Amino acid sequence: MTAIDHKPEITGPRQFKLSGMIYYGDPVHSHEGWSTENEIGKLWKRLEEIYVNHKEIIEQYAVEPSVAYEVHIAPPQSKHKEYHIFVGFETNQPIPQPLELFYKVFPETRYAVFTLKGVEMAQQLEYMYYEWIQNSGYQESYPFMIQRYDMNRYKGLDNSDTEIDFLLPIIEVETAEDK
Amino acid sequence: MRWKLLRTSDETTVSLNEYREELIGILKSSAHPSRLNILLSLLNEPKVFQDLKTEVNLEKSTLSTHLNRLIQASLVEKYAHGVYRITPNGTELMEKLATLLENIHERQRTEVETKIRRQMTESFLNRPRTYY
Repeated sequence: MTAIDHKPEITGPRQFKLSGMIYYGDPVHSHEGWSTENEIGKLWKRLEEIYVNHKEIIEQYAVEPSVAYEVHIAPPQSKHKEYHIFVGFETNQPIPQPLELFYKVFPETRYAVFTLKGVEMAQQLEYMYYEWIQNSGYQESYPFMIQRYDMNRYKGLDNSDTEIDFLLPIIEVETAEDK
Repeated sequence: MRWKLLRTSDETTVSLNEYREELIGILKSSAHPSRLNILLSLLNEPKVFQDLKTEVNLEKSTLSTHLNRLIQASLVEKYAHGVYRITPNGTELMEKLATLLENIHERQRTEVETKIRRQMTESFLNRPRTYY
């Protein structure tokens, strides 16, 4: 576990609206971890192909075409490794075409935004869940987590300069006085 | 002599075994810092002896020795008076080495990514849940 050297930005309530593709299952069942051969890799590959083939229309709708999102959605009581993964672009309205893109509105919530860097990222994520949130006065508002990939800052996970923004949906912890 | 460089196929193993001595000759010819410099220099364009000598920073006699070794291995040829160029064999060898290096780097990158992604997935799935 590696401490994160900055405080997260706490956003106001916002609703993410993404257009993209979804996968449900054990995302690493065919190939351990992440690779272009497993389900997450294939999902990204499908999205990339659609982006290349429909670049013009996607760029008309995308809020930031150079930014892509990977959202991990865990069923609340899930103790197994199956969950939803959505990858896509932020669009403020559904895109009529390509037909393969689905529009997903995430519930309005505040977010703690951490910018994690380089090869220590996994340890920093662990810190975020095991240390920071436990002592922050916040708790998770929904069982999902958003990863924001800005192509100007993402250079591969083996690159120490790489940055990914992790958006943790949060709500303030109710104290006894609040009740 | 050419053979297919199919990954881990029986055919490749047989071919490489069959032409083992020739393979050793090619590898030894290219696996020397000065000879590799010569090959890399000639990849861009043919060069006259004097320019090559300046570029790879070798004495005249040393450069001649290395050039002869590369010519014997059919990686370099003299095609005009005092002008040397890389052969199609030499170009192909350099291209194959570049591809090998790219693949090595890609596999190293994937290995690191796989490890980090697995840890990130586990952190998300095993996180303490306090609210919902």
